[in-house]
Amino acid sequence: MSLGTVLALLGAAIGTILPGIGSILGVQGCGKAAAGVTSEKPELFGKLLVLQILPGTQGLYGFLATFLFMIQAGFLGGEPKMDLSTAQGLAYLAIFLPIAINGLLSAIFQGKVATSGIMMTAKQPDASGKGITMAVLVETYAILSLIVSIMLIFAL
Amino acid sequence: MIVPVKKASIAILKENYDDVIKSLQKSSVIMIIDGEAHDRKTSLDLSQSLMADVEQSIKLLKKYEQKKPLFGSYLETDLEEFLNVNYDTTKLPELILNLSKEIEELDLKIKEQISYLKKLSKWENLDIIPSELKNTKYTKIIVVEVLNREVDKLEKLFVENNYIYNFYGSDERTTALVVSSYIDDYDELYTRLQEFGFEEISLPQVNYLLKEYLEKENQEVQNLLELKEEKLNLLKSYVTSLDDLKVLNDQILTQNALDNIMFIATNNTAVINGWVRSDEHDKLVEALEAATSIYELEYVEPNENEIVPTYNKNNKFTSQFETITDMFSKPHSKEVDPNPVMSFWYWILFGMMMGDVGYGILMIIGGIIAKKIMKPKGGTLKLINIILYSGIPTIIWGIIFGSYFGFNLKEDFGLNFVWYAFSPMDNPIMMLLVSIIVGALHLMTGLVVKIYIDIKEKDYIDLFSKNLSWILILSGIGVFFLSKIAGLVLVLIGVLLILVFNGARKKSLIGKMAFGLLGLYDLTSYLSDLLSYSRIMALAMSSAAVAMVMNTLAQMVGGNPVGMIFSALIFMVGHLFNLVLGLLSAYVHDSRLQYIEFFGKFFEGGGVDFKPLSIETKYVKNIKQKNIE
Repeated sequence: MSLGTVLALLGAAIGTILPGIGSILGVQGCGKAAAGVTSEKPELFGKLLVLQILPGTQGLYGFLATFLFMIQAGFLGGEPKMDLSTAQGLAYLAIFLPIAINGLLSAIFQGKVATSGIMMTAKQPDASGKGITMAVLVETYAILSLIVSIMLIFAL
Repeated sequence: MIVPVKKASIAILKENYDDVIKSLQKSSVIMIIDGEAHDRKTSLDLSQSLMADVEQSIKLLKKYEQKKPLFGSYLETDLEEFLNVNYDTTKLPELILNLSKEIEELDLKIKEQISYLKKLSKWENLDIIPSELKNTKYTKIIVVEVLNREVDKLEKLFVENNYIYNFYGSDERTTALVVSSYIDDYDELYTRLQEFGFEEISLPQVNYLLKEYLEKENQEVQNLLELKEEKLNLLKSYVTSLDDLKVLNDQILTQNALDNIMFIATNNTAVINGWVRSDEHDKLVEALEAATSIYELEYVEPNENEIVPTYNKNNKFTSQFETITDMFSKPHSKEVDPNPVMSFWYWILFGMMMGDVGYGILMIIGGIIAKKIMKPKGGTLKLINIILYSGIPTIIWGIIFGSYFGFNLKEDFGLNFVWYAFSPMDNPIMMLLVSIIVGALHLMTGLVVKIYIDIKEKDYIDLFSKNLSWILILSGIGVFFLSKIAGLVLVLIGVLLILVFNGARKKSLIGKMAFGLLGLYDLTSYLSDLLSYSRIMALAMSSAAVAMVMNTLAQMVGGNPVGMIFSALIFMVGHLFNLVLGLLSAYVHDSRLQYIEFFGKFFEGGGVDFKPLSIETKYVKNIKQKNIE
């Protein structure tokens, strides 16, 4: 296995791990707030669950990018490219950076907005839609990064 | 469509107030506007304090419910039955709560008694009748429990000093001890004993052996346990009245709604002000006449600062999507209802984000089953309907994308007769393009609605500078790829419209020119709006990719019979997971596209919901109205 392949795999690992960490932090923060609210108002559980799960999508985006890379590079049902040059490997590593970094940060901060949304829903159950919309605005940048990462994966 | 809501002022005789307000509540036609003061309360037969008792009883009885219904109970009553309170039921909460209190007290008593008897049980072998165990003229007796580990040392002490003593039974910590001494030695003995530590015990002063006493007391505990069991069974038998209590709870809720009304009153008359839908005038008159023949109904102009409530009346399809708009904001009463246009686009975009034939079929089947089993109402019903209806565009887009549970029938199974346009996974650029084109059409629909509003309000400057111009520019960019000249012309006309009209309201020439140029700056917001639709591509692709992963995983374990079972399991659980996640993402992101991109073009919102005074229910799911209409 060449150094290039190792670098590409390192990129894939980063692309899965960082957005995953973001989602873990985001979802757990929201979960704590939601659990507190649920103890007082169990009927809000459904609405709170939607808010809690919002920062969870970034982890999925990271997984998605890695998965597409695996197909493209033949690691899933094909001939794995074991002899990528160092430059090619670095290129793959670079491709994962947008979704890795923006996924990490957007999930953490989306979690904070969603937590506020949970607090708002606790006081005004009808306002949950507004809370969801505010949180979704943060996710836009993770989606844009995902698109960039995917486009680049298909380009290489 | 937004139904106009009018402000009605109804004057009645005060003596008829109760009948009138109840009749209005029954037919739920009017949303009461609270007056300045209220003169007296409605004569209600259910006290508010009963409410807490009823709720507590329901909570209590729910614990003993034998068969818990899977999706919550479906309680139905008749209107007539609902309006006539059954006074036998009102006595139930007190009975139930008292019974539960008695059981609790019994429980406590039993627990105390059991722990007391357990402690006493080490004295079981005491061969002296407790009442005879007392000081005599020359001797004193000490009845104590001492720590087990001190027993040997104590025994030595007693033998050395010739005290009369006897150890009885013991538990894991202490031993029962009776020791006696001459009255002169008593103080010394007591001091010596204190060094070892002890607990003085007062035995029950009975004139028979303790063994007998313990037997008797244990029997007593048995009796108490039986009594408790009896009472518990009685309490459990009240579970059959659970439905009655639930109805009573809702009856109290319904009456409470009347209690809080503020109306304007003079000596003999009462005036009720409220909002009435303009299409329900007849229903209002009918409700009034059912209660009294003496009334004065007139419609008045609302005050400047009063917000007229909004009532949406749409066809069955559109009305399901009203909740989506209401989550953002209820339309203002004077506004164009965004729901008819929004619902169509929400439906299309939802299908595009899901984009799989298999998932579409599951959404339809799942929706139908959920409606059958849960019999939902209100918001939940609408949400299920949205998913059910959106199954259709999901299937259509699934055919276009050639996606059947993540499989491509033509490529994966060689079924050449299956047509598909393109697969998002193989052709992401095409998918991005389609997403943005659909987005542009979505935005242009919003602009067309705004043009309609502008024409209604005769705001032609806004029409040309902000709306028609951008429709021309957006469509021009599209046409450009077909015919360069036609496209350029359209874009140029659009730009010209902005330059001319955007500063039209400014007085100075420089102002006109500056604002004309500034209007072009909107280009950035349109660019970000359009790019925002790329999320459709991202969601469609992430759903397709996860489906593919599940298929790959399922194929990997297959091969032998055991593998086949796992393979089927992975396939089912995996796709269900992907479906649920996809639904959530589609719901959330589709809403966002409507709120930010689409509504931003024309919708103002800020209305309040039209909520007429009506029968309030929490547990009763359906009230059958056979006598009305």
